[in-house]
Amino acid sequence: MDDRQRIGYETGLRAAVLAGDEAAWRAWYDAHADGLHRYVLWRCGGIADMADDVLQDAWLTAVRRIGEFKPQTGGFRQWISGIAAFTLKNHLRKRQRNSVRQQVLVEVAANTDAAMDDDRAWRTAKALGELPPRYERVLRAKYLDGRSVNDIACQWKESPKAVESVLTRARDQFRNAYERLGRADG
Amino acid sequence: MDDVDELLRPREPGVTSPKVDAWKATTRVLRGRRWWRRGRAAVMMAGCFVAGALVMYRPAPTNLVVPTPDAVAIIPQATEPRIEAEAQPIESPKRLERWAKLTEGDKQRNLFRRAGDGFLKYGDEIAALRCYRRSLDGGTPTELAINVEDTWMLMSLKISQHKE
Repeated sequence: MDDRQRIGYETGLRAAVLAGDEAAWRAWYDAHADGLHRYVLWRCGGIADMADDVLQDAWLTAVRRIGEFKPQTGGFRQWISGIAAFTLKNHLRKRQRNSVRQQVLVEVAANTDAAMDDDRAWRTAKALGELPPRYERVLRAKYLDGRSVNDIACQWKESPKAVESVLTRARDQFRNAYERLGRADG
Repeated sequence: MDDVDELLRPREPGVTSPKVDAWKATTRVLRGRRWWRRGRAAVMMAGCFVAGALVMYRPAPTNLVVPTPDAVAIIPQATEPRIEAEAQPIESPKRLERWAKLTEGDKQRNLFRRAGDGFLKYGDEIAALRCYRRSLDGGTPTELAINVEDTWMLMSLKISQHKE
């Protein structure tokens, strides 16, 4: 499906969903649910319960604000991924506030393996959330979608060397953010 | 420091699928939207019906202002009535003459006179003369008096009758 066909298809689906057509929404949902789930889970550092919450909120926001979706400016996947990223940011902020309140309880269980895993996932999610969109995109393409540097370069219409450089900088920034969060947590 | 590649590698999703809950929640929104649209349409239709009914059964206004004759402005007639009369279609003189033969008295004389005017206008002097003569037969002195609005032929006939 080329860009013009996609715009036509998504404009039609959007109008149908706005009219309350469940079948149209089902088509969209089925096409993107798995991809979005994988993305949100990756962005959450593998924390399944947080991913579930984010996913549900993202879908709800999408169906409520479908009128704001403009197929001309980008595809539905891109739009809903943006919503999910924004929702995740809010969740992380909320979770951080709660974690400060529950500091004592966390410290009791801090030495267990599960707690360490959770801490690692939490820091990963936070560090990913702090990255600029371009860095997040390159890491997503590399690690989540499992694409090669050449493949990404071809899609981005850039040289492999440039993509390799962006990838290196993105990894460095991620590492720095991850370490800083570890030091802040003590 | 954990290995970056290890941290960024996606983990397998949990046992429970989040798909079901999200789908249910979104369909509830869609159903709500459908009902909202239907409700809105129904309310709009009901509103139109009520508005129509109100217009139909509205009581007549009691304080209706009826313009009195004093309030009516008298506009002076700027146009020339003579030109207007000429602009109107002229009655057929033949028809007027036939009609005059069927009537009597003042009305007959008046019709013959109008027929004479018409014939004269179309250049049929003989017919005009015939009609004018009939119009003057048995006329009152007022009718036989010369008028400024008379045609030249009628004036001539009146003068000749006065002379007689």
